[in-house]
Amino acid sequence: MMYQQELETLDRELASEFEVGMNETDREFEYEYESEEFLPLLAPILKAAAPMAIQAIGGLFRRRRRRPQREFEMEFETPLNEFELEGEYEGDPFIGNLLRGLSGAFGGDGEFEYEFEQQPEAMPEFESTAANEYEVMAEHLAHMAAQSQSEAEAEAFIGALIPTVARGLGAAAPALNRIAPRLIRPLSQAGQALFRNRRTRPLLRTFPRIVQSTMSSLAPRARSGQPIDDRTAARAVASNMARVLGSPQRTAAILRRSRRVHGRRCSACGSGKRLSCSVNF
Amino acid sequence: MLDGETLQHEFEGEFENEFEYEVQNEYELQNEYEGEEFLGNLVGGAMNALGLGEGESEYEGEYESEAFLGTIRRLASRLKPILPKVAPMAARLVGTAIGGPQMGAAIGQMLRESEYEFEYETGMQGEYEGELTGEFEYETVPQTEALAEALAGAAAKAQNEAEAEAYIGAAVTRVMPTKSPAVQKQIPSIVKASAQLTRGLRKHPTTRPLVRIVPTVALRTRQVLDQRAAQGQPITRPVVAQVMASQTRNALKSPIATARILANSAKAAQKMNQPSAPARKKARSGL
Repeated sequence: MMYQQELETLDRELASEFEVGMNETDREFEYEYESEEFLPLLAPILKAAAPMAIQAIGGLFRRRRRRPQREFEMEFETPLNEFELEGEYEGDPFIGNLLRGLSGAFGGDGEFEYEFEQQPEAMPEFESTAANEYEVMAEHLAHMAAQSQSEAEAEAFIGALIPTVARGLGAAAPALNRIAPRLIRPLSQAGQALFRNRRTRPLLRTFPRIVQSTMSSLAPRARSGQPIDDRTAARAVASNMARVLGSPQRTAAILRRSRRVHGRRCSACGSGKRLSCSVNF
Repeated sequence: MLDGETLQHEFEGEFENEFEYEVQNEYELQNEYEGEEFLGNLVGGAMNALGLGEGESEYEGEYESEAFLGTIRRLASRLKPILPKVAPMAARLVGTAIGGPQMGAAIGQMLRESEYEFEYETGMQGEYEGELTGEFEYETVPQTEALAEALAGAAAKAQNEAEAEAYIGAAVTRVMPTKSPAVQKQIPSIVKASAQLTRGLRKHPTTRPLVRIVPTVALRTRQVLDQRAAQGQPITRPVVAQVMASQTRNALKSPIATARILANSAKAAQKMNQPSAPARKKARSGL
């Protein structure tokens, strides 16, 4: 019977998929983006990756075509030069403004317009702040996402870090329970866009910080009784993503902290060895 | 005469309809009762004053149990032909995801050895009633929380694999908080295995609603691991693979148990997705 055969072949397919080890080149860029000397290398990556991720979130507000179910069989690499935006974004006006601000920022003139105001962030202080256990776990999940074998598996780790970050925020957590499910789709969209190229995959390690700042900016709204719908959540994610990925210095600082926090627990990352940290955590 | 493919489509449609609509309608009925809460309170107050309150609530509880029981029985009858094929595959997927192909093969071997027993259990029609009673008596099992169930429901309905796995990742970590550092270290492995399990179950439309069992499997795995850690036993990767594979198999072992998990999940998710009290009031007043 067709049904039984399909289940049997599925089993074999998934087993064989796991036998294929992770490509060493996937981790090639992990260390380079963290150092100040590599900022000139990081800037052109972000120039392409940041608009790509935000446009992917903006895609939630347009009519979408149904995607095939067997995506993990069609994992592909997209060359960075294909990231260039094709035409003007016609969707949510806030996302459109954000994209124009990003292109201006990387070109030298423009500025971002943030809908969700936050306290000014001091990078040196942020880098030296102690990490709690939830932050360590979130960093590890983000590492696992960046090292995943398939796009769908990476998404599982991105989804997993949302409740983890929410718990780390402590007192705000009850309000965040309502916010967290709304963040999954925009983060998933952005994660898929970044995962498709091995050079942008390490940027998934900035997601714990993006999730944390997004939840912090939405929590006061939730507490004051303002409704938080899908659009509000997606805008908040896009805004915080632009804030992080729109600045090479900020991204490098977040990646450095991520490495340091995670390296304390993970023997492979702590020693600087290029091993899969999933077996050493 | 219908060919195999047509029969398959008919079966899929029947299962989906049974799960999506029958269960939903059941809870809509319950919501209507909840909507009459104000009136119910007034009547309840009068009944209590007359000393009849307890009898009333007993009657309501009994009625609810009967309706719920009927839903579970109907779901179970549709799950019965699917589960013997799905359960071993799902357990092997979990074992392979955590412990690698060798562990997956070992778990497969273990399952083959107990296959006769499994077939016997699921094949017995008379088993239903006894099992049903046992399930209802077994009320001490902690339920997974509503948010995790809602996320698992979203994973079952998501349009693509990546989005589904993002939802399931969030659902699993939602039920995973543990005080044991040894168990905490294994959370990424459990997330990874849950993602594989989700992928496997979503592969076919007939088995897609079964994605809703994943938070329950994760919760029970965590509970067993916590117990082992409390007893001072080592929590290694093979141990996690074995425990999670066996919990997966247990969740899919009997149609009644699986139907109960699915129905409870739908019920919890329905509550989670309900509009808040002020929003309901606003909608009722037509504003």
